[in-house]
Amino acid sequence: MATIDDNRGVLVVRIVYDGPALSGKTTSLSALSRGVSSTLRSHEEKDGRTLFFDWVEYVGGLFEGRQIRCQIVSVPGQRELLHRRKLLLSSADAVVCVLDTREHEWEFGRSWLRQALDECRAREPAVGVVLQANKRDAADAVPREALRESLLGLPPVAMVESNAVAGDGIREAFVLAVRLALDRVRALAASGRLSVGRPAEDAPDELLAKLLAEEGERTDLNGSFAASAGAAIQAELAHWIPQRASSRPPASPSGEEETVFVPDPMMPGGMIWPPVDGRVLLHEVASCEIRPERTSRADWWGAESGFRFHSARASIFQDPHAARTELIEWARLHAANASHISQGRAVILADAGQGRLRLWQIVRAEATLRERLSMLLGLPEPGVLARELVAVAGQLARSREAFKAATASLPCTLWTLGASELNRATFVGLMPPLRSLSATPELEGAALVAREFTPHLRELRRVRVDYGEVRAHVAELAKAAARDAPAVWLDELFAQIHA
Amino acid sequence: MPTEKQLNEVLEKIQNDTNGFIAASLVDLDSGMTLAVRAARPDFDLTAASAYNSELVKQKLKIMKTLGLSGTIEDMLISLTDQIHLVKLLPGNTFLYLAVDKKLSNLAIVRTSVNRHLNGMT
Repeated sequence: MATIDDNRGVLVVRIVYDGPALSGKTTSLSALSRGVSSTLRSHEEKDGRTLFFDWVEYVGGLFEGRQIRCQIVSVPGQRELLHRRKLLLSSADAVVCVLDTREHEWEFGRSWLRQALDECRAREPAVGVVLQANKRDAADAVPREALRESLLGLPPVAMVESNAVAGDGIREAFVLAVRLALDRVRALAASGRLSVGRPAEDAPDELLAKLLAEEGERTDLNGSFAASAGAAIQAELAHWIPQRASSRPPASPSGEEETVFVPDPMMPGGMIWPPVDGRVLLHEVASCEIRPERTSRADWWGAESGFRFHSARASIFQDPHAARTELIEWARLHAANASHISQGRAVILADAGQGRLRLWQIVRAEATLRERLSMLLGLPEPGVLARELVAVAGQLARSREAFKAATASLPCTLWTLGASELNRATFVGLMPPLRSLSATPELEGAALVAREFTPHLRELRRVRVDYGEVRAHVAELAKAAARDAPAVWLDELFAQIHA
Repeated sequence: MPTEKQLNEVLEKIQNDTNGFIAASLVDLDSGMTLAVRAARPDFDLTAASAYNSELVKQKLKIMKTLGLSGTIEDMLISLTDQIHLVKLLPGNTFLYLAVDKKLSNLAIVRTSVNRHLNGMT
C-alpha cells in the first residue's frame, strides 16, 4: 500500500486497526481522530458494529522530506465479515491489533492476534503489529505480567496498554505503528519496490468500491499471504552493504565510562535487525526495565523477565561505519542460520556514550532441554522416565547432526537446545561471537550424550530409590535399538556411572 | 513512557509557567509525529511545526556527524523577531518543541520552565 504520491509530495501509508468485534477499534479511532483533529468516517454500522470499515485521515510527521499521510482504517470484527478484514489487512503497512484484555475475552483475543501475526509476517516485507491491550481499566483485566507470559509463544509483538474510552494509550500505539510502517517503507525503498504515483485507494469511497468489487468477484484471498519473508531480509541487507571494507574495531579503553544500555524501542531505523520484528522485540523488552551489568570478563550481560542480553567486551565502536558493518555481519549470520535458531532475537547498535556505539544481541528465553530433563527426573513411572531420557538424548544427538549444516558454530548442549519442539533442532542460546566460528570440533553421538547426561544420571542415582528400575528399562530399550543409538549410549553411560 | 494524559498535563504546566506561551508538543524524532500537543493559538499549525522541527534536529545531527563532533544536542534555540522556539531533546528519541511570544517572555524563563517539568516527560 505504501506509496509516494509525487503530485502532492507526500508518503501515503495505511495503518489498519484489527481486532474482534467490540474490542474497541472504533472507539480507538474515534479517540485518535479527536486527538489529531480529524474526522472519523464510518461506512455502515449496525448496532454499534462496523460492517465495512472506519476511516480517519491524518497528515503529520515527515519521511525524508515528505509529509506522511496516514490512512487509518479499522476492520469489521465479525466472523461473517472475515473476507473484508482479510482484504484490509492485506493492504496494511502496519497493524494495530486492538484486543479486549478482560479475563473472559483474552484467550479469544490471543488466538485472533496469532492469526493476524501469521498473516502479517507472511507479507513481504513483514508488516509490524502493535498489540493495543485495551480495557485495562476493567476490574477483571488480565494482569500485565500474565498478558506478557501468554504472548511468549507468539512471534514478536509490541504491547501498549490502553483504555480507549478515556483515550489513554491510543496515540502511543498509533505513533509506534507509524514507526513500524516507516521501517517497512525503508525496506520497500531499499529493494526498489516502493510504489510511486496515485495511491490505489485515495479516499474512503474508493476503498469501499474496492471492497464491493472484490466481494463481487469472490476472490480467494488466502493466497495473498503466501509470500516468503526471506527476500525482505535480503533486501534489507542489500540496503546495508557498506561502501568500503570493514576493519576490526578497537575495544573501549575504559569500559567504566560507557553509557549503560537502556532498551529503547524508539531508536532510529537501521540500528536494529530485523527492522520490524527487532523494534517490536525491543518495545517488549523496554517494558521489563532490565539493566545489564558488567561481568568479570568485561562483557555486558542481563537476564530477566524472559529475555537475555549480551554484548562482548570488544563489541564497542568509535567509528559508526565499522559499527554498522558489524551489525550487517551479525544480521547475515542470523539470516543464514534462521532455520536452526529460535525466533525472538534482535541485534542492535546502542549509544554507548562519547560518540561510541555498542552492539548487543537480545534473545527471548525459551524452555531448554536442560529444563525438560530436570522436570523428567520427577516422573514417577520408571519406564516412562527411561523412554523420555532416551528421547532427550536422541534430540541432543540429532540437533548436533542438524547444526553441522549451520554456518555458525552453534554450541550443542542441554542449555542451548529448545525443548518446545522435540522433532526440530532449535538453538535457543546466545549466538556465539562472529570470529569464534572456527572453534574446536564439537563432541557428537555417545561422547556428547556422556558429557551432557553424566551429572544428571548421577543426580538420578542419588535421589531415586527406583534408579535400578530406570536403568533396567533403558537396558531393554538398548537391546531393541540399533548398535549406535541413543538408548545404547545411555545404557553404556549407566554402566560407567554404576562402576 | 508516561500516558498521553500525563504528557498533556505536563504541557499544561509548562503553559501555566510560561508567559507568552504559544504552543508546545512532544514529538517522535524518527517520524515527526506528535505524542502530545497543546496550543494557545488555534492558527498555529503545531502538527506541521513538529514535523519540520524533527527534520531540523535530524539535519543538525548530520552536521555534527560530518564535523566529527562527538557531543550530543541538549537543546536548540531559534530566535525569531517576535517568537522564541525551543527544541529540547529528550530520552526515547523524542523532543519537546515549545514556541513562545518574545515580547512576553525570555530565554531564561523558557528554559527554566521546561527543565522544571522534564521529569514528567520521560
